[in-house]
Amino acid sequence: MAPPRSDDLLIRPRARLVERGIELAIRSSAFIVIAALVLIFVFVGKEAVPIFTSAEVHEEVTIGSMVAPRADGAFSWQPVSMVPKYSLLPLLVGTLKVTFVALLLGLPVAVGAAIFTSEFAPQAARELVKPAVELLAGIPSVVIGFFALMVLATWLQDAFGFVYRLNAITAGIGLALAVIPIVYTVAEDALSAVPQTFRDGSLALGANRWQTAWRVVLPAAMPGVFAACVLGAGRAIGETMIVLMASGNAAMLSLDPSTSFRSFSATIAAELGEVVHGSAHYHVLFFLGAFLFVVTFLLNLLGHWYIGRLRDRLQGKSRRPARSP
Amino acid sequence: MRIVLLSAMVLFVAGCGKREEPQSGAALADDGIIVTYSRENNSGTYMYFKEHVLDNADFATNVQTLPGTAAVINAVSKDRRSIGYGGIGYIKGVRALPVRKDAASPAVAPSLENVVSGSYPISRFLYFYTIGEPEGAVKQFIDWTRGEEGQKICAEVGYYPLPADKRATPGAASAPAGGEKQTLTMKGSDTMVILGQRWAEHYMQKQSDVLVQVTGGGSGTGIAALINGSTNICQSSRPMKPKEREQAKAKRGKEIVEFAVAMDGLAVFVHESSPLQEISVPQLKDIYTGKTQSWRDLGPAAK
Repeated sequence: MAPPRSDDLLIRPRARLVERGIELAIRSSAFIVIAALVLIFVFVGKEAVPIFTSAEVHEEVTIGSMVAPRADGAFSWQPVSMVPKYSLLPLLVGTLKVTFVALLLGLPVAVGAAIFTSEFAPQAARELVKPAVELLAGIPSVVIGFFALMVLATWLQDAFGFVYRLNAITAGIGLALAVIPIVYTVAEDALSAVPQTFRDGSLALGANRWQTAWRVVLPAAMPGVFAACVLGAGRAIGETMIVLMASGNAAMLSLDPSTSFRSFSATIAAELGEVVHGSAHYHVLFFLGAFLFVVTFLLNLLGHWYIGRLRDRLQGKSRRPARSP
Repeated sequence: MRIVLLSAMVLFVAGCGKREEPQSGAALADDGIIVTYSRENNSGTYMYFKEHVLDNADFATNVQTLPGTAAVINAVSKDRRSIGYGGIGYIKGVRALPVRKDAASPAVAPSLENVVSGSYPISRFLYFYTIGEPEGAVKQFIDWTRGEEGQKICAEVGYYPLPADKRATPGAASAPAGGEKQTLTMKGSDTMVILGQRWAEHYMQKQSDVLVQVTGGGSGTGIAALINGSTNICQSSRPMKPKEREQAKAKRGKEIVEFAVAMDGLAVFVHESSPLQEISVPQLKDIYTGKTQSWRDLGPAAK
């Protein structure tokens, strides 16, 4: 019996076995991710439920008292106090304020950069810009936060004379740095996915490159670009470290972007570490966490649903925006 | 959609421009607004300040809270309108103010002697907690930290030792029992981790049969661990709350026992260039509760 042949016979079933093992491992890793997601949600939800059900917690806080103004008409977040006060409004306004600033600054840059790289940039520039923006995503948010806290805050205060060094504009710029890579990557993919025939048709009809990009490619990729923006918004709302470091964390109820603010995520990060376990404050923080989880989950869902629509559209199920011949 | 976004952007930019104009240049120097910095409300330092300086009143909503004393000091060092407070050991790049207990009493500088003698008005104790009266190795370790030797190490690390009447006389060291090493665990306040570790090192050199493990996580985390029974000693920079004592009693059937192990002074500091020379506790209260909004309201001391 020649050894090579016997080896050959032996390896095949073993290889098949190995292959099945790998397949099983890959499949179970996918399920582990889903299970982790579900378990996290169950855990966060479970810790938030006493807000609705526990009489002990209701002595200190109810959904009503978190939403309605206090007797003196003020909304205040003072969880560590003789009379703890848990108004969500200042935190909600703060979170939305910084998200708005971040998106206002981040989206035009990110979408503009995506249009540039997919439509106008020469190959060399494209190969430089795309990895560079995507590298930005790899910067730990604590580093961006530190930069905003130490450098950006001083620059902006010197330039504009803000009373508060740490404010929604400082934190918003930091947050924009975190949002840009996400929006850019998804938007760029969406724009690149528009079939070359669209561009060729438009150019053949006499449109210039700008008209083609703005009137043909962008509308065709709109669901993807919109999805990118929504995913960016999800990131901005949930981002913690940057706002914790650069917002000043004062729970002021003010729409003015040059004042300090306190966001949901930073509140959880700052307060959960030393809260008394099982107290009303503890459950309120988990309630905030559950709320954030649901909001970002819905935003992500919305984003992915729109990306799905883009795919349908480009595959010809609806070719409304570009009636190229 | 695009138009809405665009008009919002225009409004935003216009709004910024309008407000910023009058604040530039000279106007900024004498508008006198006090920018207040504080620690996060999870910290023992915050609790202490609230209880002893604000008499439990709430902080004003515009008080900015930063994660860590170093961050507060950094912020104050860059902002000449600001005021902050924090552990004395951290002071660098800012100016710590002498503090008056009230308008009539003398201003006392935040120094080791003044904190230990009790004449500096805002100082606090740092604590160890155990479930029930400690016994054996735990008791020996705690007594040792509160004795002459432990307190000497405490001063070396940069914390303040206990006044003489609060110290303990450690019992005679037991002879190494030869058998298995006994492990003591200690968990809690991050402020006290360095102190705890130094104590552990020295103690283990002395008592070779004992292993002391020190971890941080925060006072609250340490207290929870103590109640769950996953640590022997909890180190805390704040006194235990009644609710936590009840929890421990209900779960473990024993009272929590408290040991003051060191002292910590809270310094009040301002920017190096601030004209303010001293401050009183009632003035601090007014500043942090929002009653005093401008440096001018502090009177001649601040000019």
